[in-house]
Amino acid sequence: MGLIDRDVEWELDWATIYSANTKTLDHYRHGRVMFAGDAAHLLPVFGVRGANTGLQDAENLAWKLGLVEGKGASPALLDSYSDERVMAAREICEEAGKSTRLMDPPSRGFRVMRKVVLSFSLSENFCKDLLNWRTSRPHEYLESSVNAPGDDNSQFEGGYPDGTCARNVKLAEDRYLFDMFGFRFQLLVFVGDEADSAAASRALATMRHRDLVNVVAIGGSFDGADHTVTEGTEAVRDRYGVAGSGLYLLRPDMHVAGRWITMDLASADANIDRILAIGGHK
Amino acid sequence: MTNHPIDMSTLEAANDLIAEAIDAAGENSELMLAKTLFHLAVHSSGVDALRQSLDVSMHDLD
Repeated sequence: MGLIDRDVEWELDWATIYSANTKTLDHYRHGRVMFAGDAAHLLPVFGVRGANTGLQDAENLAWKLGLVEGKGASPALLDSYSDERVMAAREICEEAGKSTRLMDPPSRGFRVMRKVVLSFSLSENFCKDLLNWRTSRPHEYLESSVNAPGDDNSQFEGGYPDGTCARNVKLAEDRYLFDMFGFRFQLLVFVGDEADSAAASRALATMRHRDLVNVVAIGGSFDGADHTVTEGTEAVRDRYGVAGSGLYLLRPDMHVAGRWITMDLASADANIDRILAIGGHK
Repeated sequence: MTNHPIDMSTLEAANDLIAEAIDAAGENSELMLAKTLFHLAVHSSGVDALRQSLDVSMHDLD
């Protein structure tokens, strides 16, 4: 109590030894039973996203359950929930060991290096990531079966690769890109010229899964778009790595499901079809 | 994230290598670290870089 400048009488009521554990089930889907949060994995308390991980499990599962129950998607889609989140938990378990080592160094060498990192972090930017990185980075589903096979992902320079979490962009004062999003797939259509507008409009008219997609036009407008970005366009282009024409298909949990360097809305539609019909298996 | 060209795996590898070397050197770790700095300055970074690193490292030693 002296540390917080409170001169009051106190007595120890209860004390115990906390044992840090990192464990995960191998599979989070067992038939009709889904495991999430602490039921699926056990993470230590040392800044390793325990609560956040539970929420991310729920967000990942929610849209897939919604498609299976409400839109007739194959129940096999739920296997991708297990694959993606088990992978995330394993990565976090590995990182948890490092966080635990920083909180409770196992040897003199690691105690010295903790002092070094804490001291440098006051004045040197290069060290700060060793303190903060593990608690703020979303998991990347780079190998997910939900990612569009054969898209143009590898042809992009910059932006957000397939499986990574798309980021918000400030468009103007109190206006952000994600303000235009809903809990659906997001199709970001980057318009390069008037021909792109015409092509996007035609493609939307015949899109099979139009009801599942929120269409956002960026850099131009076209008939059928749900929203049009009119401010901060260059900032969006810069962050998403699209100078001219291009498409991003985002899952409802904001992870990138595919991206193309042309107005290939049919391929984006086909990837949604693939996710619904065959459970997202490549 | 901070803006610097060093990725996390490089940071972590450097951190772990130094920690393990201190443990391996035991009570001679001060001598080992001085030898390491001397070796780095002569064979890699140069004296100016060493001087700059020493200046930065002199802060917050309490």
